[in-house]
Amino acid sequence: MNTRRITWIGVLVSQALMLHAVERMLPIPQLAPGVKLGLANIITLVALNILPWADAFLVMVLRSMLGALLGGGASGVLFSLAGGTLSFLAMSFLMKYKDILFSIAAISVGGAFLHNVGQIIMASLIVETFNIFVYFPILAASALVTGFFTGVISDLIINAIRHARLLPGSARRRGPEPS
Amino acid sequence: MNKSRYFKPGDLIIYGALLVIFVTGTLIAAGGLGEEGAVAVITQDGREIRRINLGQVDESYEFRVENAEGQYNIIRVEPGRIRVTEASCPDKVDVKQGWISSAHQSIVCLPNRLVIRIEADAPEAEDGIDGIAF
Repeated sequence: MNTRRITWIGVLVSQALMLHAVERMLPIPQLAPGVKLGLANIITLVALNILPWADAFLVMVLRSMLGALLGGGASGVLFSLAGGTLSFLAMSFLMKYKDILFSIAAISVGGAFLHNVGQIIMASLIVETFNIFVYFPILAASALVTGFFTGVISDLIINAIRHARLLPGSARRRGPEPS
Repeated sequence: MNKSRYFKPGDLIIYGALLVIFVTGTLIAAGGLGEEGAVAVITQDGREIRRINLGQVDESYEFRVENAEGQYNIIRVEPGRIRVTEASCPDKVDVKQGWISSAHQSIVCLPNRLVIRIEADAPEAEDGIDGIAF
């Protein structure tokens, strides 16, 4: 693992944690368990677009674990990981068809919904009795709005990174890699 | 930048799937709304600890539920509705959620593994029992 990869993973994880912290400060009413802005999803989308699959997965795992530990406590880690993994797998699959079949906004919407679904499934496993399907309508509606929003922002960030020629690939083409 | 940047044909699949989930979920939830004799079922660690017929509550009252680790929730019952007013859990999601009153709604306090769920049917009523005093 070279320095550039470590740096990218570190920067993205810390940005995700910042977004996580900012989101917690926003006074948004809790409509239902799991309904949130999901600003940290921006980072997962960016990571999927500019990093290799394994590195993006690592960013997601690290930000889920650290975010939950910093925010709520150890019990939050399971929910965060369940939601994060499910949405990551779905988005990384959809991302293969990005700009051919799906727009990044729709990929983000799908990921946002599955993030909530993953958390609710984990919750239903832990508390055992829990009618999870009742929350699906509100989760679907909120994912549509928040997912589109985070998807558009991710696209702007990805474009900015591409134009700034910060990516490993573009740097190598332009000269010897600094070591 | 072209206009269809944030919309590609395949998006309809994703949006369509969400719409189907939204509609079916709403129909399932609506099926339980507005029915008489909603019963609040309180479970802790997956075990049912209390069952309250909200339609037969005349005076509001509060009670305290404590688990093995000493963590507590204070639950308030009023005619037709129920809520958590105080809890020892750090996030207080259950308290913020406020009142619930219709079938299939639920309040969940994950740290204390407490669930309050409202069921549509009232088995007591069907059996001809007027009510159960606790």
